[in-house]
Amino acid sequence: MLTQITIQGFKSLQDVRDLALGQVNVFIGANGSGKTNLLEAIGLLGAAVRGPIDYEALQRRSVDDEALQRRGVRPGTFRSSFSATGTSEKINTHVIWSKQDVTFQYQVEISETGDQQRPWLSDGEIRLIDAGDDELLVKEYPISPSEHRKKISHQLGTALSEYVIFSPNTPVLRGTEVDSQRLPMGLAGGRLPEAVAELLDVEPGMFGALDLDELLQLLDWVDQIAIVPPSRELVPPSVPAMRDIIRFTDRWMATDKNQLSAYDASEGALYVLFALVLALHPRSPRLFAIENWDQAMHPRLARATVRLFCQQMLQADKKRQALLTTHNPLVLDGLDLRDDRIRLFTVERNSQGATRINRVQVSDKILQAIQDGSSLSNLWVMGLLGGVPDIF
Amino acid sequence: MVIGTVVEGPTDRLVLEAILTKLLPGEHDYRPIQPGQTFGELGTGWKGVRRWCRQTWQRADLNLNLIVSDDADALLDLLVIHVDADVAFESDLQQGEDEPKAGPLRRSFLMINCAGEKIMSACGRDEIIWVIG
Repeated sequence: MLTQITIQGFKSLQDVRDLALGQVNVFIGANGSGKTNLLEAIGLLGAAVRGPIDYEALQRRSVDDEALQRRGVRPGTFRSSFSATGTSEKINTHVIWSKQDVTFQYQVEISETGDQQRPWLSDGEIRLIDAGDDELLVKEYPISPSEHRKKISHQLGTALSEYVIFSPNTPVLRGTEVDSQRLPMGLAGGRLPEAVAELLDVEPGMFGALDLDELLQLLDWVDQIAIVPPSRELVPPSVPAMRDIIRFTDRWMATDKNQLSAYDASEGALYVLFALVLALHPRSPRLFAIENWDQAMHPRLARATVRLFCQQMLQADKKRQALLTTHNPLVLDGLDLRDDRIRLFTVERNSQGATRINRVQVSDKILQAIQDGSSLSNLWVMGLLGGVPDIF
Repeated sequence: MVIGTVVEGPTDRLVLEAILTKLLPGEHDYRPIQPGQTFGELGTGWKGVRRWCRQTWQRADLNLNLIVSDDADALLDLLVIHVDADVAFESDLQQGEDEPKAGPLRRSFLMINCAGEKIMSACGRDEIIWVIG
């Protein structure tokens, strides 16, 4: 698990140090505060660890655009550039990764040079540290870029290189637009029906490890969910051909008109399925981010969904780690921050424009306020937790 | 320091934060605090500040010690409430009526002081630092 990360010199992340992550990490902050930059910085590191995939990039030992796009990272110029402090020369990254009883520290610089300004890796080093009380240094060795793929993959596992940023959008979830056919789903939600089919087991009433009733409780208008072949009754001819479609049965509509496909069902249900697939699907990446995972959800639906998402992430046999961004206040109330594995961070710019990320920890006083009837969402909306825009 | 600011409008916040940064060297975490508002009513101006004071002071669910106190786990290290002195000329001041003959500046002071004292008393504190510029 990625337990700590330092990023310096990446876009607005001029100096984000020792960001300690849990298993489910939620980031709140104003538009433009740097939430996406954080997700992309990890994506760049993931692409760098994985190594170049095209021959030219391999020769240059750089990260190619395609490797970035596959992770949901927008290629471009990555180095910080502030009017007060100028452009950073390189991007410094330092990650601490725990795996069973050993902690790995991996430090590497990423530079952008050459005609195409592509990022490339410097020599780095890995330190293996026994995670016991004494934190003994077990082994330390420098690595050159040509050794990255092999050694990093071996030491860190492939989780960092598996990392992708999902960014669901309604046209793709509805099936009117297509995106990549990656497993278990495309970054924008393509292939959702197939992923749902792989988890849905109607007869015992399960959705992966989740009781199907718990899922249906979130979608109060849905009586049943099924995966069926496309038909003219459910999908108009203008929608691109799909192998399977999701069919919702409405609880209240007349029986001959109560079946809806993703094309015309409530979009909130599609975003719920999207998030839960990532928490439950055996082929979900071990480390992933979802940008604005709750868009189009009613605040109460988002609160209940994030609660279920956290529960499933923590209970799963295969330990995964997620980073979510949101603008929805009620999502905060769905996070049980008393569990250290669930963490909330505010993201904002300081007076120089650099991104600052702070963890929100629940003190006894906050717990008392919550017992007295307040809520984290309330404190956030008031501005007391930070991470809000200064707009009246 | 974590510094919360309740101000009349966004420009005031910029000026206030610049002043505070000059007075208190170092990197601070400024938190823009605002009253809840519906229909945009009473969000800005001195009435917005008064609204925040009233809302906060009257809350049953929020121990004000949580917002600002000497305790290490208070959300703020410093709370700054800003009101322009021209509020003294407003006709519908709600406080200070016990001194009907007070001049406009005095009435303004009484009004804000009253709200401030209620907040500070709920926090278990008795200090208000007045900065008049």
